Amino acid sequence: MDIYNSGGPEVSIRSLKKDSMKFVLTNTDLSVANALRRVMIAEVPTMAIDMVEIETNSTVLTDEFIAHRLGMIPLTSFDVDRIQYTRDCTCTLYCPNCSVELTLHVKVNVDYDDMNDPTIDKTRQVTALDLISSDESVKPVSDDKAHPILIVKMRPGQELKLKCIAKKGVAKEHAKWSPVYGISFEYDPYNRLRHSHYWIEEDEKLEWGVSANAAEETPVDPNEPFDYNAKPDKYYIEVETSGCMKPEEVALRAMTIMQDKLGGLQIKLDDEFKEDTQRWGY
Amino acid sequence: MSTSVSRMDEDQIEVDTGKVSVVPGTMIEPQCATFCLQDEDHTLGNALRWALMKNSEVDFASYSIPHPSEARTNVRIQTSDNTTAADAMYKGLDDLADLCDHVIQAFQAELAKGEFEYEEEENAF
Ligand SMILES: [Zn+2]
Repeated sequence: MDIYNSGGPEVSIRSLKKDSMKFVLTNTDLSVANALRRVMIAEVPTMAIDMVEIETNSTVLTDEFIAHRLGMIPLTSFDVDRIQYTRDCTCTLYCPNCSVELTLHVKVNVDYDDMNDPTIDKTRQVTALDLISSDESVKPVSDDKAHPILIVKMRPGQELKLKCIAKKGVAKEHAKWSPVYGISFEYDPYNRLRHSHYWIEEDEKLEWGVSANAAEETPVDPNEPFDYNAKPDKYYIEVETSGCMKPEEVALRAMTIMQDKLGGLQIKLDDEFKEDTQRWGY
Repeated sequence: MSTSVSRMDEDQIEVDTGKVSVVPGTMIEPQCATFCLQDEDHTLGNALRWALMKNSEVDFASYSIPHPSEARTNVRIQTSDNTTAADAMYKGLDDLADLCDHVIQAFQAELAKGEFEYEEEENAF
Protein backbone atom coordinates (compact mmCIF):
# COMPACT_ATOMS: atom_id res chain seq x y z
CA MET A 1 0.00 0.00 0.00
CA ASP A 2 1.53 3.26 -0.94
CA ILE A 3 0.22 6.77 -1.12
CA TYR A 4 1.25 7.07 -4.75
CA ASN A 5 -1.51 4.96 -6.33
CA SER A 6 0.93 3.42 -8.84
CA GLY A 7 3.21 6.16 -10.10
CA GLY A 8 1.77 9.11 -8.26
CA PRO A 9 -0.16 12.18 -9.40
CA GLU A 10 0.30 13.46 -12.94
CA VAL A 11 -0.26 16.96 -14.22
CA SER A 12 -1.14 17.85 -17.78
CA ILE A 13 -1.46 21.52 -18.66
CA ARG A 14 -4.00 22.13 -21.42
CA SER A 15 -3.67 25.89 -21.81
CA LEU A 16 -1.73 28.64 -20.13
CA LYS A 17 -2.63 32.28 -20.49
CA LYS A 18 -1.50 35.43 -18.74
CA ASP A 19 -4.22 35.14 -16.12
CA SER A 20 -5.71 31.69 -16.55
CA MET A 21 -4.59 28.10 -16.73
CA LYS A 22 -6.38 24.86 -17.56
CA PHE A 23 -4.86 21.63 -16.33
CA VAL A 24 -5.78 18.04 -15.62
CA LEU A 25 -4.65 16.36 -12.43
CA THR A 26 -4.76 12.57 -12.55
CA ASN A 27 -3.98 9.54 -10.45
CA THR A 28 -4.68 10.97 -7.02
CA ASP A 29 -7.46 11.20 -4.49
CA LEU A 30 -10.27 13.74 -4.56
CA SER A 31 -9.12 15.06 -1.17
CA VAL A 32 -5.69 15.98 -2.57
CA ALA A 33 -7.15 17.72 -5.62
CA ASN A 34 -9.58 19.56 -3.37
CA ALA A 35 -6.78 20.59 -1.00
CA LEU A 36 -4.94 22.11 -3.97
CA ARG A 37 -8.10 23.96 -5.00
CA ARG A 38 -8.76 25.24 -1.48
CA VAL A 39 -5.18 26.40 -0.89
CA MET A 40 -5.12 28.25 -4.23
CA ILE A 41 -8.29 30.11 -3.28
CA ALA A 42 -7.67 30.86 0.37
CA GLU A 43 -4.06 30.43 1.46
CA VAL A 44 -1.76 31.83 -1.21
CA PRO A 45 -0.61 35.23 0.10
CA THR A 46 -0.99 38.40 -1.97
CA MET A 47 -0.90 42.15 -1.36
CA ALA A 48 -4.06 44.19 -0.81
CA ILE A 49 -4.90 47.58 0.63
CA ASP A 50 -5.66 47.07 4.32
CA MET A 51 -5.63 50.55 5.82
CA VAL A 52 -6.73 53.86 4.34
CA GLU A 53 -5.98 57.27 5.81
CA ILE A 54 -8.32 59.80 4.25
CA GLU A 55 -7.25 63.44 4.37
CA THR A 56 -9.88 65.03 2.16
CA ASN A 57 -13.01 63.53 0.71
CA SER A 58 -15.67 65.75 -0.80
CA THR A 59 -16.88 63.12 -3.27
CA VAL A 60 -20.37 61.65 -3.17
CA LEU A 61 -19.09 58.41 -1.64
CA THR A 62 -18.45 58.08 2.09
CA ASP A 63 -14.94 57.43 3.46
CA GLU A 64 -15.67 53.82 4.38
CA PHE A 65 -17.30 53.17 1.02
CA ILE A 66 -14.12 54.33 -0.74
CA ALA A 67 -11.87 52.44 1.70
CA HIS A 68 -13.80 49.26 0.96
CA ARG A 69 -13.50 49.78 -2.81
CA LEU A 70 -9.75 50.38 -2.48
CA GLY A 71 -9.35 47.14 -0.56
CA MET A 72 -10.85 45.18 -3.45
CA ILE A 73 -8.35 46.43 -6.05
CA PRO A 74 -5.95 43.64 -7.03
CA LEU A 75 -2.29 44.57 -6.56
CA THR A 76 0.60 42.91 -8.38
CA SER A 77 2.08 40.37 -5.94
CA PHE A 78 4.85 38.68 -7.91
CA ASP A 79 7.32 39.81 -5.26
CA VAL A 80 5.17 39.05 -2.20
CA ASP A 81 7.82 36.78 -0.61
CA ARG A 82 9.97 39.83 0.03
CA ILE A 83 7.30 41.37 2.26
CA GLN A 84 6.63 40.20 5.80
CA TYR A 85 3.30 39.71 7.53
CA THR A 86 2.76 42.57 9.98
CA ARG A 87 2.13 40.03 12.76
CA ASP A 88 5.69 38.69 12.22
CA CYS A 89 7.22 42.16 11.95
CA THR A 90 8.95 44.09 14.69
CA CYS A 91 6.87 47.23 14.09
CA THR A 92 3.58 47.98 15.81
CA LEU A 93 1.34 49.13 12.96
CA TYR A 94 3.21 49.12 9.64
CA CYS A 95 6.66 49.75 8.23
CA PRO A 96 8.47 49.35 4.88
CA ASN A 97 9.26 45.70 5.72
CA CYS A 98 5.62 44.70 6.01
CA SER A 99 3.70 47.20 3.89
CA VAL A 100 3.60 49.28 0.74
CA GLU A 101 2.24 52.80 0.62
CA LEU A 102 -0.03 54.01 -2.16
CA THR A 103 -1.26 57.57 -2.43
CA LEU A 104 -4.08 59.16 -4.35
CA HIS A 105 -4.80 62.83 -4.85
CA VAL A 106 -7.37 64.02 -7.36
CA LYS A 107 -8.89 67.48 -7.43
CA VAL A 108 -11.32 68.49 -10.15
CA ASN A 109 -10.97 72.16 -10.91
CA VAL A 110 -13.91 74.32 -11.75
CA ASP A 111 -13.55 75.72 -15.24
CA TYR A 112 -16.24 78.39 -15.61
CA ASP A 113 -15.95 78.48 -19.40
CA ASP A 114 -16.80 74.78 -19.68
CA MET A 115 -19.42 74.88 -16.92
CA ASN A 116 -22.23 75.97 -19.21
CA ASP A 117 -21.22 73.88 -22.21
CA PRO A 118 -23.36 70.74 -22.11
CA THR A 119 -21.23 69.02 -24.76
CA ILE A 120 -18.24 68.76 -22.42
CA ASP A 121 -18.23 65.82 -20.02
CA LYS A 122 -17.32 67.28 -16.66
CA THR A 123 -17.24 63.97 -14.80
CA ARG A 124 -13.78 62.89 -13.70
CA GLN A 125 -13.39 59.14 -13.31
CA VAL A 126 -10.98 58.30 -10.50
CA THR A 127 -9.52 54.88 -11.24
CA ALA A 128 -6.87 52.49 -9.94
CA LEU A 129 -4.45 54.18 -12.33
CA ASP A 130 -4.58 57.30 -10.11
CA LEU A 131 -3.00 55.35 -7.25
CA ILE A 132 0.71 56.11 -6.97
CA SER A 133 2.65 53.26 -5.40
CA SER A 134 5.87 53.66 -3.44
CA ASP A 135 6.98 50.25 -4.67
CA GLU A 136 7.30 49.40 -8.36
CA SER A 137 6.54 45.73 -7.75
CA VAL A 138 3.29 46.37 -5.87
CA LYS A 139 0.82 48.44 -7.86
CA PRO A 140 -2.76 48.07 -9.10
CA VAL A 141 -3.21 45.39 -11.76
CA SER A 142 -3.76 47.31 -14.97
CA ASP A 143 -3.72 45.01 -17.98
CA ASP A 144 -6.47 46.90 -19.65
CA LYS A 145 -5.52 50.58 -19.73
CA ALA A 146 -8.74 51.47 -21.61
CA HIS A 147 -10.95 50.11 -18.82
CA PRO A 148 -9.15 50.62 -15.52
CA ILE A 149 -10.86 49.80 -12.20
CA LEU A 150 -13.18 52.65 -11.26
CA ILE A 151 -13.00 53.92 -7.69
CA VAL A 152 -15.28 56.96 -7.74
CA LYS A 153 -16.70 59.53 -10.18
CA MET A 154 -16.08 63.19 -9.35
CA ARG A 155 -17.58 66.53 -10.38
CA PRO A 156 -15.89 69.95 -10.60
CA GLY A 157 -14.95 71.31 -7.19
CA GLN A 158 -14.60 67.93 -5.50
CA GLU A 159 -11.38 66.58 -4.06
CA LEU A 160 -10.11 63.20 -2.85
CA LYS A 161 -6.80 62.85 -1.05
CA LEU A 162 -5.77 59.70 0.75
CA LYS A 163 -2.99 57.33 1.70
CA CYS A 164 -3.37 53.56 1.47
CA ILE A 165 -1.33 50.93 3.29
CA ALA A 166 -1.17 47.65 1.39
CA LYS A 167 -0.33 44.58 3.43
CA LYS A 168 0.42 40.94 2.83
CA GLY A 169 -2.39 38.59 3.71
CA VAL A 170 -4.35 35.47 2.83
CA ALA A 171 -7.96 35.06 1.69
CA LYS A 172 -8.73 32.98 4.80
CA GLU A 173 -8.78 36.34 6.56
CA HIS A 174 -10.46 38.44 3.85
CA ALA A 175 -11.39 37.49 0.26
CA LYS A 176 -9.62 40.58 -1.08
CA TRP A 177 -6.33 38.70 -0.62
CA SER A 178 -7.34 35.82 -2.89
CA PRO A 179 -5.11 35.53 -5.97
CA VAL A 180 -7.89 33.77 -7.86
CA TYR A 181 -11.09 35.17 -9.28
CA GLY A 182 -12.45 31.74 -10.02
CA ILE A 183 -11.58 28.09 -10.14
CA SER A 184 -13.55 25.55 -12.10
CA PHE A 185 -13.16 22.06 -10.73
CA GLU A 186 -14.74 19.05 -12.37
CA TYR A 187 -14.41 15.29 -12.25
CA ASP A 188 -16.42 12.45 -13.72
CA PRO A 189 -18.27 14.47 -16.42
CA TYR A 190 -20.56 11.53 -17.27
CA ASN A 191 -21.54 11.14 -13.61
CA ARG A 192 -20.44 7.50 -13.68
CA LEU A 193 -19.84 7.63 -9.93
CA ARG A 194 -23.28 9.16 -9.33
CA HIS A 195 -21.86 11.85 -7.04
CA SER A 196 -24.21 14.33 -8.72
CA HIS A 197 -27.94 14.19 -8.46
CA TYR A 198 -29.47 16.31 -11.17
CA TRP A 199 -32.67 18.20 -10.68
CA ILE A 200 -34.83 17.46 -13.71
CA GLU A 201 -38.20 18.23 -15.26
CA GLU A 202 -38.54 15.05 -17.31
CA ASP A 203 -35.36 13.82 -18.93
CA GLU A 204 -31.87 14.04 -17.42
CA LYS A 205 -29.99 13.49 -20.71
CA LEU A 206 -31.97 16.17 -22.53
CA GLU A 207 -31.88 18.76 -19.79
CA TRP A 208 -28.27 18.30 -18.63
CA GLY A 209 -25.73 18.22 -21.43
CA VAL A 210 -22.21 16.94 -20.81
CA SER A 211 -19.33 19.38 -20.34
CA ALA A 212 -16.42 19.89 -22.74
CA ASN A 213 -14.27 17.71 -20.46
CA ALA A 214 -16.45 14.71 -21.35
CA ALA A 215 -14.47 14.45 -24.62
CA GLU A 216 -11.64 12.94 -22.57
CA GLU A 217 -13.73 10.15 -21.04
CA THR A 218 -15.82 7.25 -22.33
CA PRO A 219 -19.59 7.60 -22.08
CA VAL A 220 -21.43 5.43 -19.61
CA ASP A 221 -23.19 2.43 -21.10
CA PRO A 222 -26.68 2.46 -19.55
CA ASN A 223 -26.64 -1.34 -19.32
CA GLU A 224 -23.39 -1.64 -17.40
CA PRO A 225 -23.73 -2.39 -13.69
CA PHE A 226 -22.93 0.39 -11.22
CA ASP A 227 -19.40 0.05 -9.86
CA TYR A 228 -19.74 1.11 -6.23
CA ASN A 229 -15.98 0.71 -5.66
CA ALA A 230 -15.03 3.23 -8.35
CA LYS A 231 -13.29 6.39 -7.21
CA PRO A 232 -12.62 9.63 -9.07
CA ASP A 233 -9.05 10.01 -10.31
CA LYS A 234 -9.11 12.65 -13.04
CA TYR A 235 -9.72 16.29 -12.17
CA TYR A 236 -10.25 19.08 -14.70
CA ILE A 237 -9.17 22.33 -13.12
CA GLU A 238 -9.14 25.85 -14.50
CA VAL A 239 -7.65 28.69 -12.47
CA GLU A 240 -8.37 32.29 -13.31
CA THR A 241 -6.29 34.83 -11.41
CA SER A 242 -6.92 38.49 -10.67
CA GLY A 243 -3.71 39.28 -12.54
CA CYS A 244 -1.81 39.73 -9.27
CA MET A 245 0.41 36.75 -10.10
CA LYS A 246 0.79 34.11 -12.81
CA PRO A 247 -1.64 31.17 -12.63
CA GLU A 248 1.15 28.56 -12.68
CA GLU A 249 2.78 30.46 -9.83
CA VAL A 250 -0.46 30.22 -7.81
CA ALA A 251 -0.61 26.44 -8.28
CA LEU A 252 3.05 25.89 -7.40
CA ARG A 253 2.90 28.17 -4.38
CA ALA A 254 -0.25 26.38 -3.20
CA MET A 255 1.55 23.04 -3.09
CA THR A 256 4.54 24.61 -1.32
CA ILE A 257 2.22 26.15 1.28
CA MET A 258 0.65 22.73 1.83
CA GLN A 259 4.14 21.27 2.41
CA ASP A 260 5.01 24.05 4.86
CA LYS A 261 1.82 23.33 6.80
CA LEU A 262 2.68 19.63 6.99
CA GLY A 263 6.28 20.32 7.99
CA GLY A 264 5.12 22.72 10.69
CA LEU A 265 2.73 20.11 12.06
CA GLN A 266 5.50 17.50 12.20
CA ILE A 267 7.66 19.82 14.30
CA LYS A 268 4.77 20.52 16.67
CA LEU A 269 4.00 16.83 16.87
CA ASP A 270 7.61 16.15 17.86
CA ASP A 271 7.43 18.83 20.57
CA GLU A 272 4.17 17.40 21.88
CA PHE A 273 5.55 13.88 22.13
CA LYS A 274 8.89 14.62 23.77
CA GLU A 275 7.28 14.29 27.19
CA ASP A 276 5.01 11.46 26.09
CA THR A 277 7.98 9.37 25.04
CA GLN A 278 8.95 9.14 28.69
CA ARG A 279 5.38 8.53 29.75
CA TRP A 280 4.91 5.55 27.44
CA GLY A 281 8.48 4.32 27.49
CA TYR A 282 9.06 4.21 23.76
CA MET B 1 -9.62 53.75 8.72
CA SER B 2 -9.27 50.08 8.01
CA THR B 3 -10.93 47.92 5.38
CA SER B 4 -9.93 44.81 7.25
CA VAL B 5 -11.59 42.68 9.87
CA SER B 6 -8.22 41.53 11.19
CA ARG B 7 -8.44 43.64 14.33
CA MET B 8 -11.31 41.44 15.46
CA ASP B 9 -8.93 38.52 15.87
CA GLU B 10 -7.34 40.09 18.90
CA ASP B 11 -10.52 39.65 20.88
CA GLN B 12 -10.67 35.91 20.33
CA ILE B 13 -9.83 33.68 23.25
CA GLU B 14 -6.77 31.51 22.69
CA VAL B 15 -8.04 27.98 23.14
CA ASP B 16 -4.67 26.32 22.93
CA THR B 17 -1.19 27.60 22.30
CA GLY B 18 0.17 24.43 20.69
CA LYS B 19 -0.60 23.65 17.08
CA VAL B 20 -0.83 19.91 17.64
CA SER B 21 -2.10 18.39 20.86
CA VAL B 22 -3.68 15.18 22.01
CA VAL B 23 -7.26 15.63 23.14
CA PRO B 24 -7.22 14.74 26.87
CA GLY B 25 -8.47 11.26 27.63
CA THR B 26 -8.35 9.98 24.06
CA MET B 27 -4.97 8.22 24.27
CA ILE B 28 -5.88 5.21 26.37
CA GLU B 29 -2.99 3.32 24.82
CA PRO B 30 -0.27 4.48 22.39
CA GLN B 31 -2.11 2.88 19.47
CA CYS B 32 -5.03 5.27 19.62
CA ALA B 33 -5.31 9.01 19.95
CA THR B 34 -7.35 11.99 18.86
CA PHE B 35 -5.10 14.84 17.76
CA CYS B 36 -6.26 18.42 17.77
CA LEU B 37 -4.78 20.53 14.97
CA GLN B 38 -5.01 24.25 15.63
CA ASP B 39 -5.87 26.55 12.67
CA GLU B 40 -6.48 23.70 10.25
CA ASP B 41 -9.63 22.87 8.31
CA HIS B 42 -10.95 20.57 5.56
CA THR B 43 -8.01 21.57 3.34
CA LEU B 44 -5.60 19.54 5.42
CA GLY B 45 -8.05 17.36 7.35
CA ASN B 46 -9.53 15.48 4.43
CA ALA B 47 -6.23 14.93 2.59
CA LEU B 48 -4.53 13.86 5.82
CA ARG B 49 -7.31 11.39 6.58
CA TRP B 50 -6.79 9.87 3.15
CA ALA B 51 -3.00 9.69 3.63
CA LEU B 52 -3.48 8.00 7.00
CA MET B 53 -5.85 5.42 5.56
CA LYS B 54 -3.22 4.57 2.94
CA ASN B 55 -0.99 3.29 5.76
CA SER B 56 -1.79 -0.43 6.18
CA GLU B 57 -0.92 -0.25 9.89
CA VAL B 58 -3.73 2.22 10.45
CA ASP B 59 -6.99 0.54 11.43
CA PHE B 60 -9.03 3.69 11.68
CA ALA B 61 -8.55 7.31 10.69
CA SER B 62 -11.07 10.11 10.47
CA TYR B 63 -11.30 13.83 11.03
CA SER B 64 -13.92 16.24 12.26
CA ILE B 65 -14.34 19.93 12.86
CA PRO B 66 -16.14 20.09 16.22
CA HIS B 67 -17.47 23.60 15.73
CA PRO B 68 -17.49 25.83 12.62
CA SER B 69 -16.47 28.95 14.52
CA GLU B 70 -13.49 27.35 16.23
CA ALA B 71 -10.45 27.09 13.97
CA ARG B 72 -9.42 23.57 14.83
CA THR B 73 -9.67 20.06 13.47
CA ASN B 74 -9.68 16.78 15.35
CA VAL B 75 -8.04 13.72 13.80
CA ARG B 76 -8.73 10.30 15.28
CA ILE B 77 -6.23 7.52 14.64
CA GLN B 78 -6.25 3.88 15.73
CA THR B 79 -3.42 1.61 14.64
CA SER B 80 -2.28 -2.00 14.86
CA ASP B 81 0.22 -3.06 17.54
CA ASN B 82 3.11 -2.61 15.08
CA THR B 83 3.08 1.16 15.43
CA THR B 84 1.64 4.01 17.48
CA ALA B 85 -0.91 6.67 16.69
CA ALA B 86 1.76 9.37 16.94
CA ASP B 87 4.08 7.54 14.56
CA ALA B 88 1.21 6.98 12.13
CA MET B 89 0.40 10.68 12.32
CA TYR B 90 4.01 11.54 11.64
CA LYS B 91 4.09 9.17 8.67
CA GLY B 92 0.79 10.56 7.33
CA LEU B 93 2.16 14.10 7.38
CA ASP B 94 5.38 12.90 5.78
CA ASP B 95 3.62 10.97 3.01
CA LEU B 96 1.36 13.88 2.18
CA ALA B 97 4.35 16.26 2.00
CA ASP B 98 6.05 13.80 -0.37
CA LEU B 99 2.92 13.74 -2.49
CA CYS B 100 2.89 17.54 -2.66
CA ASP B 101 6.50 17.44 -3.74
CA HIS B 102 5.54 14.98 -6.45
CA VAL B 103 2.81 17.33 -7.72
CA ILE B 104 5.24 20.28 -7.73
CA GLN B 105 7.74 18.27 -9.77
CA ALA B 106 5.03 17.10 -12.16
CA PHE B 107 3.95 20.73 -12.61
CA GLN B 108 7.46 21.99 -13.21
CA ALA B 109 8.19 19.19 -15.68
CA GLU B 110 5.01 20.02 -17.55
CA LEU B 111 5.85 23.74 -17.62
CA ALA B 112 9.35 23.00 -18.86
CA LYS B 113 8.00 20.77 -21.63
CA GLY B 114 5.73 23.59 -22.78
CA GLU B 115 3.43 21.33 -24.77
CA PHE B 116 0.28 23.32 -24.28
CA GLU B 117 -1.69 26.15 -25.74
CA TYR B 118 0.13 29.29 -24.73
CA GLU B 119 -0.99 32.87 -24.96
CA GLU B 120 0.75 35.95 -23.60
CA GLU B 121 -2.02 38.41 -24.33
CA GLU B 122 -1.34 42.09 -23.82
CA ASN B 123 -4.88 43.38 -23.98
CA ALA B 124 -7.41 40.79 -23.03
CA PHE B 125 -10.55 42.64 -23.98
ZN1 LIG C 1 6.50 46.16 9.88
